[in-house]
Amino acid sequence: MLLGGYELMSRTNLSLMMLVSALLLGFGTPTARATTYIVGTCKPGTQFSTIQSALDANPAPTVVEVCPGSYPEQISISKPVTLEGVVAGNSSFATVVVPPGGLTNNTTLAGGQAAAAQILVQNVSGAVNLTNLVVDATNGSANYPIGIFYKNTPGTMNHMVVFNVSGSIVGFGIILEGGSSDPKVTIENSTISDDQLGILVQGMSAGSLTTAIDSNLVNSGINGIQVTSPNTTTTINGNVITGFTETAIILEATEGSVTNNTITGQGSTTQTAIELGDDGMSIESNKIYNVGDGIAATATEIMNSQITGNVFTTLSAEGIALACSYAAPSSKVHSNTFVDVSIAYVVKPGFSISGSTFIGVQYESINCPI
Amino acid sequence: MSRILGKLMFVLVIAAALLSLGAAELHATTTYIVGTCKAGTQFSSIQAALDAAPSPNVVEVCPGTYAEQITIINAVSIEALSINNSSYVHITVPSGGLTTNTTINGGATSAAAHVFVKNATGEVNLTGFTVDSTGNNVATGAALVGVLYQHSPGTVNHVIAAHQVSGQSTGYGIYMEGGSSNPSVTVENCSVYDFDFGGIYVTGPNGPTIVGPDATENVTGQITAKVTNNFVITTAAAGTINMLFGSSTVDTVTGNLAAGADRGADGMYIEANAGSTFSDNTIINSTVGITLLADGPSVTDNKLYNDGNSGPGAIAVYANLTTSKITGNLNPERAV
Repeated sequence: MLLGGYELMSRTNLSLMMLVSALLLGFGTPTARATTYIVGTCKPGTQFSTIQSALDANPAPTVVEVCPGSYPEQISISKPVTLEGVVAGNSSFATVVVPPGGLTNNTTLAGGQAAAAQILVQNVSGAVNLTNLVVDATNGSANYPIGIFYKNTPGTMNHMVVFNVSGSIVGFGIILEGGSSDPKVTIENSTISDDQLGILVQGMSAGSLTTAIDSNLVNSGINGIQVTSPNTTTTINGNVITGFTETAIILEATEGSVTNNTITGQGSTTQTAIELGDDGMSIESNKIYNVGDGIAATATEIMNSQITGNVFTTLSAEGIALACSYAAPSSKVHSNTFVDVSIAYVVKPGFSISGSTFIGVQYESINCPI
Repeated sequence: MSRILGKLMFVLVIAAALLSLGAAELHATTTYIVGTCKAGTQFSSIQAALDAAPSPNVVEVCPGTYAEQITIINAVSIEALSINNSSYVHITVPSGGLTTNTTINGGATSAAAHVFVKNATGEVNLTGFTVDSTGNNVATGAALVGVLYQHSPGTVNHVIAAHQVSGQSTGYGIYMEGGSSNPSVTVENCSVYDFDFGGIYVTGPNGPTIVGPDATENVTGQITAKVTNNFVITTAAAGTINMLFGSSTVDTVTGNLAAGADRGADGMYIEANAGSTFSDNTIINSTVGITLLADGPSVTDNKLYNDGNSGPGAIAVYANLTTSKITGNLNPERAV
């Protein structure tokens, strides 16, 4: 009897729960359902001729699929959305190109300069994801053109190509800027090529910025990746960085890591693989080839950065040149390999180079300043 | 009883002494020093140390510059020393240039090899020095090779081959050529740059024999090569090849970086035998990233960036593939 009563109550409760669940699901469905728009005519659905018109449509899309083709637009994104290129067969990518007349200024840099972003993602509380798109900034003609600008917005860029961003002052492939919503942004599996500065991670005092830059090719004109403070935590992992004339990675922040990257230059003494402009970010297990300096400190104090397990091959200048005034202890900087390097370490007197490997090195260490 | 024990002890002592002597003979290592940075039997040139009697097992080379063209015919390890704040062992061209000392491509091409390993039956291991062929002055029509192994086993580790530029587009950095004994060779952690024809070549005894689709010379491996973690870069114009693996070779090629300049050179030519694997290599800025000319090798998990100018691009296949596996390669859309 007890058992039967329990069964009855259980069945009643179960039915009630199912009813409530069904009602909740019923109410939830309209808001959870994806609204997908098509740009172009390669797929059936609600079609638009421009990316911006699809983004601006009502109801706001959750997904915008862009057919292969060329889109002369300057795009502004203000709501969460996934914008993705449709890759079908041997078709070419969906490419956002510069509209006739060039790019117009539509935003400002952290320093207040007016800038022209080809894709501007600004103050969006939800994620904005970009996938399988090409951004071609050829003929952008602005002082500060930007391929993609994420301002205070979270999201992921995956399999993107951003190239030819060149300005009369400086062009940026991608800028990630922090802000009050503490965004987290990922750039992965993308090609950032022929831009004056490939990727800029811009810290802001108003909030934090957490960034992962993973498995990209950065093939840029002057500098590859630059990270600035304040309030940034950045991981730069597994990228290939090449084609720069000055510096592959500039670190002007204190939090994060640079790991497993491959950096290769053209053997110029003016090329630096990694510049340490601040103290704290770790630099580990990178492979650095054919540049002038491997890791060079421009900050006056490098006490906390962990620099281990890196391989430097064929450098025309110095492997690791630490700060002369306050330089990292040997417990932080060790176990690096130098092959075919003129000077492996430029260090404060007393720094121990034991634990590192030297092959074809003219001077394993020299006391600074030199 | 004690007499018997005493005799037994005597016999054991003699046996132990004989065993000890035999062991000493078996494990004797003849080590020579080139230079004066370390105590031992010293020589002023690497070749003089190699030619000395008894033949050395190990030649340790002090930091310094050695203007020599070297021939190695016996098993030996040549190692650069790291002493007094330097590990810079620099083998340069002797005055007058390099002389023609062998042929490659099955006898078809005369060659001047800067460091020449010739028909050694035991392993020849080279570690830690730079072969700089600046000022080589090779004869017209002759190939120039930084390090040439012909029909010899061994390992080339942490060797830098630089400036193999003949001016006639015949310069190779490291060239491993097989033979009937099917030698096993390893090229690892090397840096090869500034050559005007080939960076790292692995071929059968008749050279690359790359003549067209499915042109596999034979199915018998005549060299087994492991090529890992090398850096090969050329700034030369079109026509150079960073890495080539010819027919009659069985290769394991992984973790290498091959870079061109402005897509001027080809990344990797493969005509190797079945069983060869090419994985986890990074190839940048080549006219063609990987050119596969034979069925059999697997090409997996390579990263190919910015390859292809007007040619076929990242991976070009000129063979009817039935067994080759081409998977997991990352080839992002070329930007421009």
